[in-house]
Amino acid sequence: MDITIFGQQCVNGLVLGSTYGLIAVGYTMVYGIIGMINFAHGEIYMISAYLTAIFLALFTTVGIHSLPVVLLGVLVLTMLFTALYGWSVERIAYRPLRHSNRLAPLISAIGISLILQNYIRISQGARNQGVPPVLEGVFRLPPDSLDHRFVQITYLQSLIVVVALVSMAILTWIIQHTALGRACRATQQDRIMANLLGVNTDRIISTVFVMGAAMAAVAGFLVTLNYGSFDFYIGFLMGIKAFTAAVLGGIGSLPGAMLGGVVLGLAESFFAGFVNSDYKDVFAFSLLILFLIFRPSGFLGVPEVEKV
Amino acid sequence: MTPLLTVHDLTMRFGGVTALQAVAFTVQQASITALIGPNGAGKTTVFNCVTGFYKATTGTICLHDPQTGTGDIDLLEMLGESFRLSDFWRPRTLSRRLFFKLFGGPHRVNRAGVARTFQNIRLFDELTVMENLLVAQQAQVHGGLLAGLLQTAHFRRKEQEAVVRATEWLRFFDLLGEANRLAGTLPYGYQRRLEMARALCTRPRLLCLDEPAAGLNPNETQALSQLILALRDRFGLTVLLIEHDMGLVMDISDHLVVLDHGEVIAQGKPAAIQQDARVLAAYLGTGEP
Amino acid sequence: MMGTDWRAAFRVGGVALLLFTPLTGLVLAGYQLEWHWQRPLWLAGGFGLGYGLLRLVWRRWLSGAHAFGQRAAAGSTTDPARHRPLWIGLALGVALLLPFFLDKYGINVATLALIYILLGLGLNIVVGLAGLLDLGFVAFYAVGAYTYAFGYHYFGLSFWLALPLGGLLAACFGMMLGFPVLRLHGDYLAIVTLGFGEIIRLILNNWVSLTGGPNGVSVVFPTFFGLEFNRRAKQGGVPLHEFLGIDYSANQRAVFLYLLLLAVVLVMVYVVVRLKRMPIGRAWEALRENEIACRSLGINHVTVKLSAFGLGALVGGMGGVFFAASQGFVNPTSFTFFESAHILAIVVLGGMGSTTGVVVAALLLTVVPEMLRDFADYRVLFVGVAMVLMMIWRPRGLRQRRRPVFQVEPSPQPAFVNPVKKRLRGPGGGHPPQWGFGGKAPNNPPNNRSDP
Repeated sequence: MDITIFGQQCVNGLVLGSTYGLIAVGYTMVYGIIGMINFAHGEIYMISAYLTAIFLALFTTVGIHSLPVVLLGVLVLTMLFTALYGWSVERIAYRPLRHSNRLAPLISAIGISLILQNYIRISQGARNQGVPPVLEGVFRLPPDSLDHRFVQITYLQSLIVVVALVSMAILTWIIQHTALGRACRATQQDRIMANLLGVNTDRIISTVFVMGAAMAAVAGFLVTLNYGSFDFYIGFLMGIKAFTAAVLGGIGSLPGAMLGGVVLGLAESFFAGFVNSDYKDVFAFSLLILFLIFRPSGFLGVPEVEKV
Repeated sequence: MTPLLTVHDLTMRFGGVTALQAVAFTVQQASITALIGPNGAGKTTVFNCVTGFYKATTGTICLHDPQTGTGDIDLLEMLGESFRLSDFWRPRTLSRRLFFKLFGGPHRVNRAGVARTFQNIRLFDELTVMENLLVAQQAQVHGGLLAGLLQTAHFRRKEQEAVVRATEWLRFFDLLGEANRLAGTLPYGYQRRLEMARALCTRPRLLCLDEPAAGLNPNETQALSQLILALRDRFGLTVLLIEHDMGLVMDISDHLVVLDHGEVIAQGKPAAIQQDARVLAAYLGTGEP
Repeated sequence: MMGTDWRAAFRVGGVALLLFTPLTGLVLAGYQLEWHWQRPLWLAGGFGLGYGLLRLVWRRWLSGAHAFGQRAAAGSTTDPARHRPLWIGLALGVALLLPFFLDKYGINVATLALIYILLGLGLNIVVGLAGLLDLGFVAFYAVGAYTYAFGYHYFGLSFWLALPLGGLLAACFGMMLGFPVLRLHGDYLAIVTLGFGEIIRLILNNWVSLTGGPNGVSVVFPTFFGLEFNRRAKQGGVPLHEFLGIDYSANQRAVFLYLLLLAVVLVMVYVVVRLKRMPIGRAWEALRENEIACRSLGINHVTVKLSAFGLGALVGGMGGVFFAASQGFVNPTSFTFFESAHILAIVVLGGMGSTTGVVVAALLLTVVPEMLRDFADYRVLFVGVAMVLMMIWRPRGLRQRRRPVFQVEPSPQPAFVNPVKKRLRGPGGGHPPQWGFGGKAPNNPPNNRSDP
């Protein structure tokens, strides 16, 4: 096996995995706090891709061309509006059903995901959309390679890894070291008790949805810039993949989500590179099923002890 | 006196926490045994181990057959033990282990003759009272799928028998008038009784009651103690219960097992326990040494 | 009171404005934007106003009626439906005669509706009765359809063999998938089945040498006990119309398939109605209500769930065989996630567990879109909205399900006499004294039960 091909697959896998990890954070946090899968999370990601393209075009129309300003502005706006969508999803599909039977929130979230998909299809059209290329250029490793034996890392790819790491670090800091984070962890441990101690658990749950959506927005922003094209259906596939990442890492665990994302990204990228690229999605889903069967608590999760 | 249940050297660890340490006691046939102890002593953990909801880390839980004196049933094996290397040259053990790994679980413990109720009542709220009791007889009634679809005579007879048995227990617990009500709409005290009736419908040899008097007023508690006594005296049932109401416990128990910090600190007749220094210390705290 | 309503309406309108402005007001056209500034305003205004009016109406008139309705529903579990046989007879008559008054297109729509009824009934067992969320139901549908397609294509399998085989194969897939997953926390099943549905579709799409990929496989039309429906039989056989001595009509085959499917649906309805009153059906519902209690009662939760899951898959597979037969052709585009969501919507709108509800919802969701072709774009959107509203408003279905009523033998004495005097026989044959729990007045329960 050629070492450069191997290296290239590593890079691709890492980049892919970082985005999976960012989205997986949303699943893992929501699961941690209300014990439910947010089925609309993939669509939140899809919304953020559209918002990225729209804000990018908006900045161009307005006439702001300074690249750092544009990128930062688009990222912040996308995160804000996506977070608002995340908040609305919780408000509509989850909060009214907090004391309903177990299936109801799941079904309403599936309803929401159908609504979001078709809302975008109707308002933005069913066709493929795209963004113009930004930040072109590559690093080569080793830099002075003469033949084709080098590993290529685009600027955007390195940006993805860096931004993903930074935002994960910020999120971890928020959860570990702020009052808000403490309230989140308390709610996760015991919602009723946290409520009795004066934590507004409804607000905390909303916050968790908002944070998850914001992280998905970071992923949406990065992936959109990197791949350039998207449609209203991308959320579905990305959603399952990111959920797989969350399960791999151990659902409920924040570092697990990132780890799971990277592992899934690498595994998928190696499978596509060395086995068969047609079946990489099948491979990812099979991995999900196998993990749920043999190690449902993932790499870093703790096995559930049933309360009787 | 013949023992029905022997618990030996029962240890349970959750991660690093040792919840139970070498717990051992026996429950005699047709007796009422109470597990008592301060909060957090591990009573419910013992209960969950005996009824198969927790898999004990080490130890044995054995249900004896008092009729024959042989044929002890190992309740732990039914939860699916992990494989050992030695299994691979003992195909019989291996296949047993594999079977219980695949199809084992608390339900097997119930079928072996141990029924339980729950501290926080667990009824099938959207089913009627009668249906709750019929579900409990599932393991005994199961006719084939086809028989049920075609409503064969055999199926209808089995169904009728189940209804009759359920009716008997409803009558015993004075719930006959509520047979067709949704279980979730029953008042609290009724729900407690229904849960006991439901456990009894599985035809247990050992009935485990987890704080049956919790939330009942003194009158109801009094009636409950009469009911439990009747279960022992009329039907020869063996009862194991956790209870905080000492009045009830001292009134009806034949045998007490006192737990503290996951260990058995005393056991014996109620009168003896009341005098036991360690028990007093556990409940009231030790004085200055 | 009015004030708070309008303030809430304003808030909703404001949030809606924020939500809609970038995504409906600014439309991507290449790398440029088209401005539609009036769209978010209309939408936000509509949402705000609608929400305010709804709140007002709800508070004024509906909330009281709603609460009353729930109480009545909870209490009237024993109320028998008097006109039930009449309605069933009428519906049956219409269903039987319908194909003779419809054109080919109409019959096709009706056949599709029947397929969806069948699928809805199958999924209803899984979701409505057993409470397992299966989001990959379409996988079993695909297994059935492709069993027939491959069976015919590679082995010359006839429809009549493919029908049970497709069902059984789908059930096998269901069992294999379900056995390991069903021991896990319920939500995992949803995502695993979702993944499984995608796996099946991707394999069908990518394994071109076997499945023909996106081009699909063609399927032969079923025969009537060896008699074909064509004008001229292929291999020297006798076509049905000659055998019966009637004129050939192109509709005959469609009518035949419709009637066959109707028969299968009727059998299925009977099976589901019976299952609800059988031990296995009760066990499903009990598992849905409380899994831990079930295990404490000697019910193996894995195998009982598996039976529901497998049975659902079996029905899905049979639906697939019918689908393949009616289309004469299968390809992977018929088996996307949306198909699963559509079947789930039928179960949800039908009211989780209600057989009549499923039938009505399947008819609505199939026939109405055919009639309202102009709104085709909005169809899925409406389905989604309906699912959400249904869950918020009535998660247990529009109507409380009637529970089977059991005749407890009339006791010699009324139940509430002096408990000490009463002598009733317990199950062991002894004569235990009857002890009540005291405090029998149901109006005054000692209700200090902590919220679970």
